[in-house]
Amino acid sequence: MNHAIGIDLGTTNSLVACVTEGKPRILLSAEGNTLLPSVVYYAADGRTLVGEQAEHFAHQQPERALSSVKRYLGLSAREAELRPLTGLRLAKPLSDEEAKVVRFDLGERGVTPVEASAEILRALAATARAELGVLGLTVVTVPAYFDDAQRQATRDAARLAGFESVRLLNEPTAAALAYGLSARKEGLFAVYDWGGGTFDISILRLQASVFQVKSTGGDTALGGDDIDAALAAELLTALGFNEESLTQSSIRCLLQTARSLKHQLSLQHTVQTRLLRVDGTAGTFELTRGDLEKIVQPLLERTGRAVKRAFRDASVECSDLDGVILVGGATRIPCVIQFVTNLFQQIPLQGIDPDCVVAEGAALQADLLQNRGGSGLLLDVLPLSLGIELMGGGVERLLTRNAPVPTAAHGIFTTAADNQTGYELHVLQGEREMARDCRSLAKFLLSGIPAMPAGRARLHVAFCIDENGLLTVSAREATTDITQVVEVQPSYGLTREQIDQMVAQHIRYRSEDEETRKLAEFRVHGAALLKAVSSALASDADLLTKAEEQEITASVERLKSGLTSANRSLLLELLLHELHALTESFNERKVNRTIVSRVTGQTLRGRA
Amino acid sequence: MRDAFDVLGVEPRFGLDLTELEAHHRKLSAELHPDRQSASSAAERAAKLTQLSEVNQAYRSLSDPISRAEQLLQRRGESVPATKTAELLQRIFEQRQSVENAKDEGNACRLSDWVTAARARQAALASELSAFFDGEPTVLPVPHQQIAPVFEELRYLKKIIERAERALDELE
Repeated sequence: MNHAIGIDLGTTNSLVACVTEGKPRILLSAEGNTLLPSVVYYAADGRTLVGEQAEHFAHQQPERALSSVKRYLGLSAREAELRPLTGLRLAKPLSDEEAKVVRFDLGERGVTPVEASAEILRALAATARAELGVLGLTVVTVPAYFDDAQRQATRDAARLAGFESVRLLNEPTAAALAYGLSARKEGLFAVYDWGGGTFDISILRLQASVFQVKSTGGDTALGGDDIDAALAAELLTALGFNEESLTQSSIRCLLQTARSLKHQLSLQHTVQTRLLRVDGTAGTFELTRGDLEKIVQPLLERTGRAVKRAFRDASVECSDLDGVILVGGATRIPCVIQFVTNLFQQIPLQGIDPDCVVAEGAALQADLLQNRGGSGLLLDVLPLSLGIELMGGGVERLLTRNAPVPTAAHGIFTTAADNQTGYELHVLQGEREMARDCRSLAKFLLSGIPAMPAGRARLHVAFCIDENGLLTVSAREATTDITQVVEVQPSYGLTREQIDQMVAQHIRYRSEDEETRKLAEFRVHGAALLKAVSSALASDADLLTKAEEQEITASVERLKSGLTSANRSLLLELLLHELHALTESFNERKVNRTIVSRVTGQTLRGRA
Repeated sequence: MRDAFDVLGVEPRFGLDLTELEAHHRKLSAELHPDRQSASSAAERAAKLTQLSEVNQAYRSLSDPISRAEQLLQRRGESVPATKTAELLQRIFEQRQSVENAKDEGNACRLSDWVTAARARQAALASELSAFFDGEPTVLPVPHQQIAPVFEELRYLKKIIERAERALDELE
């Protein structure tokens, strides 16, 4: 039997879950973890590591690792530059075609967020396959507020990762599904979902196992990452640095410190940390919950605005709610919980781990779709309005946000000049009044319009939204009987050919035979190195400081476990390098000692 | 051509019970949704998907009082009235001005008071439409040109309220 799975492809962590005996269950990776850090490490030859292993080596070579790539899905190169402090290096686009998709600079090549996300999806699929065998339908979650380009990019990543049958599901809906199905509740619910990179609010009605989204809102550029960035910026000022003077790796280090301080403050009231000032002296910094609250407050207010709008769009009030569901790591912060309680005037539901709830809901939906013929049903809405650019830069909205999907709409446009034979249609998504402030989704050239006076042509433009919330656009000129040809020029994203190329490239990089050969080779090297190091430690450990010895022992342990469990040659290669580097000076010292003892030995013998 | 009332199969009146309409829409959606069609043929599925898309469009349009009224007029074979009397234009201009002023001053309080008042005005206009469409047939029929100003004001109000609410979002 094929197994349906649900995947939460997160900014910070990703998870995969399945349903057994009607209950959702998070699948454990080979290392025994539920959360896979959304970090990808790239070797120069294109081989990759994902998750904790990638995180480990990212500390040593930050320039070779990518994290928080979800924030860049569906963005152009120019938009990506506007994102806050992340420590990721962006590649300069070489052409307009390239500028449509942001690429991370890894020296020898650029990597798109779609490719990096596909690596994460592949790692999750491997985890699922190891336990379940053949995989069936896969549900991948996306923030409800993702626009069409971001959804397409997620879909592309799944295709690149080799998934056959994929459905997208909004994260808050997944969370509601997990709560609703497990508790068999009915009524009106709000899902407040604040994850690593995005904020989402959804209002849903659950009735007779039909989950109907009433409205959704949010901010795709507002997440826990922004708290880290704001906290890191505070630390920078306190230490006397300015951002420009820092290297990418020290920015990442600082972000990591900020994140860990944030986490600690969810458990305790104050934390202390020792950091180096710009003048090289070390200082102890104390941070209280109050300090963190000051940083979080403006971000909370932005979430509050989105919540109010979602209420308005759903034509409901706080008092109509039967429950509030918290999702995402940021909702662990005490002042966030307090804010939500005040905002909704009720204590939020907390029964399911906010990190796992989305993956569990995704697995439930996958199971419903594949195995139960849809006994439960999800009815979703369009998150953002869709329209066409008008002369003068305004926007004519054809579909307004929160329209239930699937849906369709059409508009009629006309020519502005006499004998105009071509018409460029610019498809936009967003709530702003001017085209330049909205997301540009696509440009269509409607050509072959017969020559006629301005204003005579009748251009029918039809928008069609399918059950996945994805858009297709068609256009025809109505005064002639001939349906006109439409040229599609997506403003964002990868073309079908580019994806196919990437798949081919992936196969080339990952020749199975080559990988097996390398794995065997590194296993032999690894075993030899372990033997050498352990005998050296047995005889000459006194040459090492306590700290050096600890570091070497830790590295030995990592290599040992790598030798038994690693299925990627790159992991073994990197672990070997690490132990090599750590024992290099130890070896030198050992050689010196041997020489010294020989020399002294000879002298002694000479005297005798 | 089938209008939204036909598509949803509801009685063509202005004063629809919106809670009932919502429940009815949910029931239809559940019947037509592709996720519930695993036993159907591809052609059947496609037909139901198109039907669901129509149902969703019809639901949206009946939820909005302006488009609901427009469709009722069209059913009676009457065109949708348009009028721009000086008095109406003056009133709309003043309304828009007070929103712009409050917005420029950054006065969230005044903006939100204005929205409350405008919503009340919307409700009053809607009940005028309701009397026109659903009133007792013994009442002398009002020529539909007379409700033209009501239509026009509702259309403008909707736009200005949207603007005010967006401004409120940015202020708060």
